[in-house]
Amino acid sequence: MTDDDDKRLVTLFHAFCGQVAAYAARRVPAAMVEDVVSRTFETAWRKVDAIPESDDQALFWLYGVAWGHVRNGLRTELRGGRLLGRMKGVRQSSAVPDPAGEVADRVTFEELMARLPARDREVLRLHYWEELTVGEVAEVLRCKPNAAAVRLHRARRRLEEIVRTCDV
Amino acid sequence: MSEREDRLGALIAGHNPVPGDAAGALLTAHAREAILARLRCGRAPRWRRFGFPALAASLALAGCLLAVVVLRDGAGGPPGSVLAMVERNYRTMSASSRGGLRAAAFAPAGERLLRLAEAAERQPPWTREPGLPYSHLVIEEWSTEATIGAAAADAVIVPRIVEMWMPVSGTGVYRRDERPGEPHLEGFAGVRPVWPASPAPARDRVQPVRASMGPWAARLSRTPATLRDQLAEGQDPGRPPTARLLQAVLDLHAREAVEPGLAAALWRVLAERPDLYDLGAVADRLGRAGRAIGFDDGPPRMRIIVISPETGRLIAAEDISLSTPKGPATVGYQTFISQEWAAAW
Repeated sequence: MTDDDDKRLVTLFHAFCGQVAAYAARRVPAAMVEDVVSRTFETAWRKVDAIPESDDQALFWLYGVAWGHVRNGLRTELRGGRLLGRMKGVRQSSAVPDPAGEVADRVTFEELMARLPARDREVLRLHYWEELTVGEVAEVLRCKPNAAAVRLHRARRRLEEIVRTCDV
Repeated sequence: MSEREDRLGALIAGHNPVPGDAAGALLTAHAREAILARLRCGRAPRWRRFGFPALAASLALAGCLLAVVVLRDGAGGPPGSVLAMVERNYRTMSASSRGGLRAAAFAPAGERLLRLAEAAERQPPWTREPGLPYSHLVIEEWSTEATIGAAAADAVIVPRIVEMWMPVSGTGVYRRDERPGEPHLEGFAGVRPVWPASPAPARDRVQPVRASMGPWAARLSRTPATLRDQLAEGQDPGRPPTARLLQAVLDLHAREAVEPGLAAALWRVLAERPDLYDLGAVADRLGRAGRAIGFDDGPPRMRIIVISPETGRLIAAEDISLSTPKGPATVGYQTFISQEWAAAW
């Protein structure tokens, strides 16, 4: 790694650490956010040559890496954590803790989302939670904008159908 | 977009668990800097070091923690820390009237320091470009502050992260920022960390460089004999030679970026000192692997520096007292998080 690589990585870390942490916090328990951020930037350090030149695109690239770690890398830890939680008599939610008054509503929404395929959930979250455009979603998912638009459309339709049948 | 789609979008957006304006508080400054330090020193983060084959690893870890708590009766830092290493040797250190590291029969550090110098020399040389006139440092540290009043005395720990931009020329002005830190308080249950209610105003952070701050890295020789004399300049002549050298090394690292060639020369100078001891492998407070080198700085106080065996870089320093009623205690530490040359602050 050259000095220029190191400088760029440090700059990207300072610029996007908060956004990657927020991305992670929307998908994994709070205690695991730091791990996802660590893993994501460790991948960046390892694959510096693969990071796009433009800073915006670099952020989308980081989201894509973080998604991989959320989806694959943390499955084992989540399972172990849940088992440990059960041993202690503590129920661990799969999401960030909410204020007490919102728990019932939140669980309902999570349950609705859980009925969607993982890829649909991700495309909806990227669009509505990270507030990315269809083109930006395509960059994160590394697909063509048309494909991202179709996925978003289908995910909306599927969620709409779930919402309608559940009468929420 | 139809009204129906708008409603659906509002439903999803309304359930965003971390709205944009809440994202900034997710990771503390300390956590960010710790991650960055691990990434830059090439050390895998905690989750990777421990590995996580799910429940088995978690249970093993829990078992180890339980064993540590039971066997150590709640005292001291985790295995591998500088304080834990001192605690392991506390009985022998305090057994004789002489006390300290000499009594614990640690090996002299000369040979180890020469190997650390070689590790530093193996690093790619730093070449400072003309457009980078500042040393930019990030250091985590804490100190204790005592308050004595008519009714009671109180002691508090003041943790901070210091960020410094010092001109490598040794002239002009420098900037020093201090932010509240998060101390690693192994062995300090019940101690309350505080931050001054009124931090220094921004204008006080930029100050002129004083001549007494040197010697400056750019002017230091890489020849041990000359470097030894240069380091001793400006230090209290009444103190033992090793104490003066160690203080100069720490002052230098707290002020300027130290390139690998200079670090190697520094370790060669220290290697000549017979009263420095090789205390073994430790982990610093960021979890980075290091080699601890210690000095009895007027027992019962010890000064310990931690050098990375991979890079030969100074990564931490701790002052430990053996005279507290409950055993050894850290009375101050510095963790050198990052050092580089910078264009501006």
